[in-house]
Amino acid sequence: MNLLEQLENNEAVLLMYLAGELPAEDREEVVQMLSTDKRLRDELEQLRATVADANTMVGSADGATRLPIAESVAVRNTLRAIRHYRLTHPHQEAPAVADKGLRYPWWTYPSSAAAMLLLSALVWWGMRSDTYVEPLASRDVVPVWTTDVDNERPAFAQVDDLDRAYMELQNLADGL
Amino acid sequence: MTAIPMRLATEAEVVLSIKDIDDETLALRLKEGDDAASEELVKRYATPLLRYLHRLSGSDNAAEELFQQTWLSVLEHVGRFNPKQGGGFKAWLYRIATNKANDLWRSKGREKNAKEGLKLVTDESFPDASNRLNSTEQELKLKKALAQLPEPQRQVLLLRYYSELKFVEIAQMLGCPLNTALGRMHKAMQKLKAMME
Repeated sequence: MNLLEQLENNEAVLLMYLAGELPAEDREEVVQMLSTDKRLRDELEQLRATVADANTMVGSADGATRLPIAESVAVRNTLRAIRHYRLTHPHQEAPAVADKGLRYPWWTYPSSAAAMLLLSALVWWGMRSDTYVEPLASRDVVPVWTTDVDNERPAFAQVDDLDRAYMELQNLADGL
Repeated sequence: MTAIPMRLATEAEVVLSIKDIDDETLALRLKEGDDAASEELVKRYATPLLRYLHRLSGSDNAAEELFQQTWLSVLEHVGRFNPKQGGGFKAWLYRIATNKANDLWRSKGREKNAKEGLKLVTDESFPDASNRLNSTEQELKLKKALAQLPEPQRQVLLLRYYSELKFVEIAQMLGCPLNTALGRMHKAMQKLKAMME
């Protein structure tokens, strides 16, 4: 969409035309419109006079009035203020845009990430299955009476040993 | 192969006067702490900026104070200045000046409310001696007419006159659509004409 289409009314178009701020194509279009539309031409002349009057009013008032402060004095005072500012704010001058928003020193961010990784690795290592100690009841261990009857305490044997234990029990039974 | 005629550049061609350096380059030098660059920039904009602030605030003392505040703010934020942004340094400078004037306007309003009817002691009520001596009838009429314009209309009119920025840049600076800026300008000029006649 060109600029001319964005302008809402004749005043806007003509102000931009008078200011010389229309692109060449748009300007040409306005010239063509002006050549065929007398009312638009009148509007342009009226606006031209208004702009000229406003400029003359402000210009002549400025010409008849001194500056609020002499230019040389204003410049001198401002330069003095600038020098004072530089002396009192040596580090605040020209803050880098890239640093804006960093709440903590830059090195804390990679350090935090590394610490999180380390913590995760430790948790993972602790949860690994080969180091996990299963509860006693779920293990393949069953209580069996050992041959040490005098002791009268139950002992535990692995399932692999069950056959041997069973044989021993059988032998004992046979012996009785 | 033809030989290319060569000529050594004269010293005048090599050494640029500081007056020939554009605003954006001077702003970068200002950032680095170059006193000559800051002096040149302050001098370059002294008259139009003082006039603009004077018209905007309607007060001699406020204009001088705002002028200094504007340049100190430029110094403080020059690290964030983007030369590629629309309007360049001039638009950025006038935006800061306008914001400073708005801050003053708001604080004056607050002060006024706080005092509940107590008349503010400003240049309007007690014009200083230089003002009394130099004010012509036309100047007083213009001052009165400008004071009667709504703030947004006055800003567009004065920005256009003193900064000579394009309407697109003014709209961008004030954060309003181009049509709004043009409408304000048109109304301001019509009202000014009617009040001055």
